[in-house]
Amino acid sequence: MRMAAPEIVDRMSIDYLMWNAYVDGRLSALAEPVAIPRAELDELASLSERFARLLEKTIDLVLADPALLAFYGFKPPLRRMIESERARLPITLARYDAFRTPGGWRFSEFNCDVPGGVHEGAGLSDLIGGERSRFRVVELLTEALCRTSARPSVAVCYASGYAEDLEQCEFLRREWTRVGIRALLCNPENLVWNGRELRCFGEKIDVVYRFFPAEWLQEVANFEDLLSAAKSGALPMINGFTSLIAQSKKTMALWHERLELFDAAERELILGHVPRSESFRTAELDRYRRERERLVVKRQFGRIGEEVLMGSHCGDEEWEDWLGWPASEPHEWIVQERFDNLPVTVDGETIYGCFGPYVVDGKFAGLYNRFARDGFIAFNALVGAVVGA
Amino acid sequence: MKKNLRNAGLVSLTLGALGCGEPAQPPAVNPQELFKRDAVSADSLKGEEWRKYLDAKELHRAWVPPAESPWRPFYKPTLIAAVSIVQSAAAPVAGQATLGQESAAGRFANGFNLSDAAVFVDLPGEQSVAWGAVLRKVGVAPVVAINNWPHQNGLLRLERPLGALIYYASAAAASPLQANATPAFLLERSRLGQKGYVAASKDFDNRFFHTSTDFPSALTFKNRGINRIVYVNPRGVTPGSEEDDLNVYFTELSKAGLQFTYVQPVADNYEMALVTPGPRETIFTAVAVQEYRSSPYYHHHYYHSYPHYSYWHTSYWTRSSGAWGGSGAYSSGSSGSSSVYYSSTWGRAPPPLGRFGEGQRLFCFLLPVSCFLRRRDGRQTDDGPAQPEDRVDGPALRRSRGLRDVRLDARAAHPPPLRRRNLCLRGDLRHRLRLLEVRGGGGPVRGAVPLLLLLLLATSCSRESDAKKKARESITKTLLQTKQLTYVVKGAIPDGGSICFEFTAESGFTLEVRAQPREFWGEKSSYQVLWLSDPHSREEFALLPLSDLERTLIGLLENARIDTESKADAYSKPSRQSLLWLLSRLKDRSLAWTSVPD
Repeated sequence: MRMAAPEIVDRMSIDYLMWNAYVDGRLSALAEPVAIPRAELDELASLSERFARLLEKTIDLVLADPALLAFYGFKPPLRRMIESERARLPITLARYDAFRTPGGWRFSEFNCDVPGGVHEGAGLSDLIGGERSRFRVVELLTEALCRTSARPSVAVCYASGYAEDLEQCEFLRREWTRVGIRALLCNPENLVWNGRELRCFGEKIDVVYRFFPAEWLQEVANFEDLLSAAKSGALPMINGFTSLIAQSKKTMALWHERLELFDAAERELILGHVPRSESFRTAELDRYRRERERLVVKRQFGRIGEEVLMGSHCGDEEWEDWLGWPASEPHEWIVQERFDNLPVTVDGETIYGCFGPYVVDGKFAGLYNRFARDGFIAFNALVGAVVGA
Repeated sequence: MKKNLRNAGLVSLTLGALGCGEPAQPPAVNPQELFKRDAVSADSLKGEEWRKYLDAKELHRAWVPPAESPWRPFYKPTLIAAVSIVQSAAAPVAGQATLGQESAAGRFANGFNLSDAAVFVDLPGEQSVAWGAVLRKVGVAPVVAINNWPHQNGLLRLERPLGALIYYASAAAASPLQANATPAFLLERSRLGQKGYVAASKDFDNRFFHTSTDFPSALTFKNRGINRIVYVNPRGVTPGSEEDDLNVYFTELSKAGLQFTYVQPVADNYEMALVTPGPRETIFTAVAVQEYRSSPYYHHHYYHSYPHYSYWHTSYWTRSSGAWGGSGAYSSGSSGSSSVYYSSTWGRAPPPLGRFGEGQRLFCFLLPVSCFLRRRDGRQTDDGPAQPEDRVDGPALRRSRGLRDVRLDARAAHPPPLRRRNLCLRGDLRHRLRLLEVRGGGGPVRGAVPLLLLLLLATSCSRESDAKKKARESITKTLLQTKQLTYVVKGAIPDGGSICFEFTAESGFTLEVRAQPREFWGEKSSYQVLWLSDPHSREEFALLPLSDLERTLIGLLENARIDTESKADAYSKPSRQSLLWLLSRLKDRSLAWTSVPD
């Protein structure tokens, strides 16, 4: 498989701030776009927008019913975060993980808290895909930022010790600065709540673009201050704390276990495009053991392939052993049916793709695509552009 | 609303980028101050061509290793890309200290044969860059590895190495490099900042650290004919002078047979000594300890590929204070109940915590230091050179108002913060490294490898030493009497890629099988080489294809039991997939080498 040419890599490094174009000493960007039938891509875009509406409805349902909120088993700090959001903030930026399967598109994850890869998606789409117009994340996100103020001051909040997070944050900050939006890089502890307004390095902040997972915020020193700001309605964020509900993989279990909450079209969407999912139950351990080959066990806030246990990747003894962890904290895990991922051929080599449709303010905004030779998308996945054939 | 401000003043945009636009509290510092100290009007070639390098693309072109260079993947364009936001203020930086390093580097470059050496320059960033520029003149490829950004309120003064990159850019661009040039990795010594310092809300915490995967592996070095590492640092020429985040990596390289020379610039000259880096306690040590305290269900299958959010906030800086004698290390029971717990449900006692004593002491951290302890006008304008060594390595601050427990969920344990997988080390396999001792004397490894392989194969085939013969006979006899083997451990060996599989027999006998990569030390073997040993005898011999011993072993492995609990740690769990991987190579030695499945 050919990888991107050096001059393309240089442009990715400087123009799109993709400083980690090499993983394990190897280039990770495919030289040529992967061709997928246009109709399939259109369907993916349409499905993504339907899922965006379904996720918003689900959050509303969960917030309205304490029993449904209890279903998630959130720890107290997370519940406090969710409850602190005075006026619910919509999911502004999301990226889903979709796979081509013999039965059509399957969505296995919904990244609604801090979806990444925006700069890579933009760079790959522009430099390799050649379809810049199809990647509209920055454009739509900018519009969302300016929903309530024409020139908001934005705190771009991330884990500032990590260049890989700086990549996306600076890319967005730069794009926003170009259109006249003041954007400041910071980490959560730079946000100061004085009881009246939120400030960062002395400047009043109108919106926080948060690229720092909500479940880790509880560890920062000013956590209580941030909660206080949220309760006062002074912490408008992309994305808000309630996005955690959509981020949790338990939402997929909720969909399947409480189908009656949804209308016919939503049920069709769930049953047709989300692998059957259920909460992990220790009473079902024997069944999980027996059905190892067809099951995947996931932690509700696992990210980028973390904490995903695939039964087909181990033997019976190991599976038995692996199940010990979820069994010890079943409320944190779901069980999902494995599905077959259709391969694509690139330069004569077979690889498996994970297609990441972005949805900004409910609208499909472009794709961030990863590929792996063994079908397991992890930190060392290849990245590439996708074009319609 | 999309008003395009591309034509707006660069200064105004830069001010916005740096967070210092509108007058606000605290008084903003003029970003021009970032480059005020030691800024010069001409570059190292005494010209004004440096202005061209205020363009990130140009600066990148000047410093990036050639595309075909093996060191290109390790070059970090991070800091160089930052020039785009400070270009209106940026200027070449070359202070007296930096120019002094030029002299030291010049003497070093002329007096030291670097043909088979990789250099790590770990000085205050701008001085590292000066070394890189000088080394480039003698054909060494500087590889910029400074991986964060400057900021007006940054804890690190990364604008200084950026200014130095601009200062030397013209000279760098004027001396093109060979693709096979040996590398000099340019590091920022102050990257860990003042260990134990907990950033205040007015600080932009741009501290960072390196992991082993930021740099080439021992195998990569050896494949390129590099046998020696030169480590230029301000601390000294004794073991332990390396910065904390390099200790594990250097130890790995050393164990893989690379020789180390530590160099300390002194005035305009330098001192040097041969050093063997070894494991020591660092601010990262606690992480290694913590791995072993995870639940018995912990696997490296659960490997966190992207754990840094939690790690960054709850582990790295937190542990800094304890590890460096900050208040965390001095906390007593008064700090409250234990914040780190070892749930009895795991049925495993916590590991010894070394000098830290009780677990709860390890994970306390300082509350943010009060603002009044810092200069009112920030740290920019009148500081000395960037993070001088006495600040970098000094004890942690003890100005906190008190301690706060950090709640750590034992279940959320994770391995060290590697975004990319690294070698898995098992301490008790290190005796295998004796293989490296057989290496030919002095010459490049690449040249010695065919001889080495021939020597080893010949030795195992026909001219075995008595000890090897004895080991072979002993293992053969034992295996013939063994009814079943139990597969207990799988681990990588830091020799450049070998994988070791450990089995036990009902008699208590232990067998180790080492699979050596087909491509090893730059040479490709024609078939899969497998080595057997009994760790007690510490003698290793090659398992001959189609031999009786091989047939016996295949039979035993086909019926081997897998025991994931008794010996393996988080990184070395045996699995059926890895056993099948080994069996397939035993049965067909022509199979291509692939990574061993978890």
